[in-house]
Amino acid sequence: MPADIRAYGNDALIYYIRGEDGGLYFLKRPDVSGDLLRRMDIILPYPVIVTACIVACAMFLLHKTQFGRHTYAIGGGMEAAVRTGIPVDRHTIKLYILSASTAGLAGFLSTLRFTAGSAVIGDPLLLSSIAAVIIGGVSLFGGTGTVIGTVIGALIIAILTTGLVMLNVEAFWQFIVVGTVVIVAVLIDQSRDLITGRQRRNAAT
Amino acid sequence: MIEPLLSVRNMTKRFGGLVAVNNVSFAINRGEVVGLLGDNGAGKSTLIKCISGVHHADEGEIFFDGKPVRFSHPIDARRHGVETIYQDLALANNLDVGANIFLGREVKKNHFGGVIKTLDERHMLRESRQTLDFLQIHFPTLTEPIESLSGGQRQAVAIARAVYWDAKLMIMDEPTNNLGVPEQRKVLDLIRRLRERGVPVILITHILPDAFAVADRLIVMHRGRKVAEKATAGTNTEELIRYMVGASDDMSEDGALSATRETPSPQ
Repeated sequence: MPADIRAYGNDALIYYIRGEDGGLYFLKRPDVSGDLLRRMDIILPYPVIVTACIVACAMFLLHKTQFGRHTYAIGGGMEAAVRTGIPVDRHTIKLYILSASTAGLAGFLSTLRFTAGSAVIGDPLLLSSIAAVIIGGVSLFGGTGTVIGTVIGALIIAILTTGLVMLNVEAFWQFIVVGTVVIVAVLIDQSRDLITGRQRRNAAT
Repeated sequence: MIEPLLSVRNMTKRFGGLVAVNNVSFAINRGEVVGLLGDNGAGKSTLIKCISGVHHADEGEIFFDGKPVRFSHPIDARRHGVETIYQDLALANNLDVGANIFLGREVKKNHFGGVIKTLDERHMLRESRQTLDFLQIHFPTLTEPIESLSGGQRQAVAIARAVYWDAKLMIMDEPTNNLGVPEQRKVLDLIRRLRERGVPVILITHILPDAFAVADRLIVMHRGRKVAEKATAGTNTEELIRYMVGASDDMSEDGALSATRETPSPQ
């Protein structure tokens, strides 16, 4: 099963755990005084810079280090990765941790922005973030994709939704538009795999 | 007499009641290509997996380089210099040639006193190119994903990887399967080149012409037992097929294991 889909499933599990009230509450109020929050405000006007830093780190990690190479290798062929001695399980766990950390950072920034927290605040972003990744050229079956592509994908989604807002389109329709774009992107992704698969088979015989 | 590089003695492997490998002994000398022949289900693959650490033999011993060894894991076998190339090659198709040769064993550069480590791409590319030149394998480009390469070229990448990591013994499982005729010839050429370097090769195959083309010695298996061991020069297709289908059997119960024993004429 593709890893992203599995992650989506895990996400659904967490929804279930969240309880019947439809909202996860902080077990303990975070010890962040308004003062500290206000001091943190200085980074708030510069989300672009924060994003740029994260993107730069991700690009470095993915394209220049062994960690990144192993990430591609596992995506390209699990079997090959295992047999060449890459610690696949440990690596996958690290990737999930990384993903959760960036999501945590996003949550932090959004908390600063709204000065209030809720467990469901990012829900509408779920579809958009998956859409951005797929439009950016990341294969759902693993092994291909770049950081810069994902950034471009995110920009496309942002432009799309901002444009729709400007055109006074209802939020309801915005979801549908983004969803349609995702479906088209997935179809293209699938057909690409089909085409290369066919080539491979022809080469083999 | 020179000691063989690998010698397997009385190896038996059972899966439940099924005896997949039954009391097999053989030896591989340095710089020799040995063909392991047998019909489907004859136990060739199981025998090889016992040697390369995938399975554990129930009985028997393996001597590698004169020392008794027990490979508990394929990685273990590889560390000793036993490289096995399976049919699926264990390559990452989305990575380029250099990345595949160094897969799992990447070379890193240190920055800031080892705090940050990056991949030493240039070094890896240079080493890859040298190994490929050495084996006289030519690719138009080394920086394209190997997805775009043909089956034979990918086989060559897998062989180059094994050679680069100093394989002392190469085991190849049906390397010419699924390849076009020119490609098959190239792979066979590579095997000959390995022999010239002194790297022995165990070639598992059921394609007799391939075995005759490169092997020095042939071992035939039938239903888990080794039924014949012949010098390639001293045998012919007809005779081998008789062994493969079980019509002839050199290693009958009493005389088993005497690998050098002269065999009666099959006629």
